[in-house]
Amino acid sequence: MSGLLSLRGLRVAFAGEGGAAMAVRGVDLELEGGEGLALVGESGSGKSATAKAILGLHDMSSTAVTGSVRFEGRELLELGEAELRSFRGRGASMVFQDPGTSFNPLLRMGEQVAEAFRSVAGLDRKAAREAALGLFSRLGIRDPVTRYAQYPHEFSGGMLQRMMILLALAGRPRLLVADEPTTALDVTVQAQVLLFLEELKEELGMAVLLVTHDMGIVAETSTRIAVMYAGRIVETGGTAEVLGSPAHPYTEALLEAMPRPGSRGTRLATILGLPPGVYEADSGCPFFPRCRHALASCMDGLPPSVEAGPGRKSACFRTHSLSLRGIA
Amino acid sequence: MLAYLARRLLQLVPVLLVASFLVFVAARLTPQDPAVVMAGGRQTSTAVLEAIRAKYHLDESVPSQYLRWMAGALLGDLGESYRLKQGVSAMIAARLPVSLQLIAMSVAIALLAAVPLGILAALRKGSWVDILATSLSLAALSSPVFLTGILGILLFSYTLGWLPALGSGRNFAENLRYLLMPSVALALNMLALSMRMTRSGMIEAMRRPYIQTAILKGLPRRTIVLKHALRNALLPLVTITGLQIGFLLSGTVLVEYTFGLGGLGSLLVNAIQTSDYPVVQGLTLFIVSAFLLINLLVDLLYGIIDPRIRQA
Repeated sequence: MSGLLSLRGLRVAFAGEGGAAMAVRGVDLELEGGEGLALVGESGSGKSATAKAILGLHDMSSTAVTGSVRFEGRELLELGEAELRSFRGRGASMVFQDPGTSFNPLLRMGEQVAEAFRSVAGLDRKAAREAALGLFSRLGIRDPVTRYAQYPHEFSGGMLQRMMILLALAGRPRLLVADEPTTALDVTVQAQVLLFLEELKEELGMAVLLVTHDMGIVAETSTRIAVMYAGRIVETGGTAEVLGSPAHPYTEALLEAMPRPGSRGTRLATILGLPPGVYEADSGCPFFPRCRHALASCMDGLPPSVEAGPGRKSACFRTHSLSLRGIA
Repeated sequence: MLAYLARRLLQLVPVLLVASFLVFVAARLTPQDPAVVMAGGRQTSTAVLEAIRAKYHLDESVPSQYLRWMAGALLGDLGESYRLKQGVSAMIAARLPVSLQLIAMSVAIALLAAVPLGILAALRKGSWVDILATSLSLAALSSPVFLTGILGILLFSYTLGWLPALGSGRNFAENLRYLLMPSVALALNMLALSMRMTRSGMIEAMRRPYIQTAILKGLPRRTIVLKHALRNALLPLVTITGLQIGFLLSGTVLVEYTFGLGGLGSLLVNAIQTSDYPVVQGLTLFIVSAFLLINLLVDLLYGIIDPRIRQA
């Protein structure tokens, strides 16, 4: 398989009051066509900023995006606004966290869906309306003609997110970036939406980059996983291998902090301390202050990303000397 | 929608009752004796004052005077001016066209300039366009109408001779010319405020996720700005414009004095200065009613713009 997406040294910095807020501090990531990759990390680790950078959705007047984002060999960071516009929706597309705010509250749902078909798929007004009505039917919406004229607040969150997914796929993109697509939904609806996403992935053969902080849904959806911490990727590898025997202490700590069957009644593990702030300069391993395996030498410089098994990498000085606990 | 309208109109009744009562009582609390005012303020015999009081029912109790006044007001009769012996309703009707045209023109000027400027400033946040627009709006907000008015008269009437300096025309068309300068002077303040509201509203709207969705759809920037962001940014502007119009009903007084116009504002101030209570209370009641109606209109407009409010 040829590489679909390749991030090299990606940095995203927001102009903030305390100087540049470094949300992403050099991310390297590869994604193959049709692959499912989960980008995991806690809030503020730079997952969403990385995702938005792929689609060129950052406000360039206040954000500096540097490094390289290659999609099918094309450097996206060098594209002009017009080229980006034709890339979005067709090359790659995105689904956002809260379906309740992904749609314009003042416009009719049908119009908002049809608009995507007109713009991304190049359909005329009538064909776009047909396509939108077809989408409504596909989602099992009864009386699509009436619902076409309704507004976002008249739909459920789960329905809106499924519509958003279909709408994002209107231009048959090769990559769908899903930024915490189920976080804002009820637990029962979460599974349905993930399943829906999985079916579409199979049907269209597209790659899915799933951004999430929920380790629980990673195992079900993605063959590969990338763990992000403080703006960097600290570990990558096959989902089963990484979850089974993590190579980076942060991954181990994340897995421990996961509620599990059988852990009922016992105290849930937490990771003590806080990740470094976005304004803090690098000094040693960023996870050092919170790491239970840390040595004094971990304060010297940034740990490089090293091979940690077949198809696996870990950015820890002690990758090869540690044996960490995963979840079976 | 009709049921909603009926309900809202019904809600106005108690508000108007309370407001009218307050207006009426406030006029009674002023130290001037109305009978003395009507007698021309001169020393008059007690008998004459008594006669005046009897004729105008001033010898009755305050509640009964209030009821008499309200009964008239409901039929459109707001009483008679003490000083001019004219019907208050007729006086308001005579002054209303100039005031309405002045307000309409200044609101139109303000919005037509403020909305595009606000959009431009928001989209180019931090650029020279934004900085210029924001600082000019600060200047406009802090210059009083009598200053900009007089400067305008000096430039456009005295030096260039393009526009009349004073007074109003005989009809609507003539007034377009006569009221242009007063309208602009009046509009500057509103323009500045509306520009800032549009700017902040647009900046806020452009940050919303649905704008990112619109960008993802590959829509042209024009469509994103005008179709998706602007509508959302307009809601606060509608509120502030409604409030401004209500305020302008009597707030035009400085402009009226500067340009020698006879509108509602100067009518009210003159009436207060001469203790002409029927005019004061009649006009105040009129302005309060207009204010309430404008607010109702704003709420209806909200419902038209935002379906969530319409269906709530």
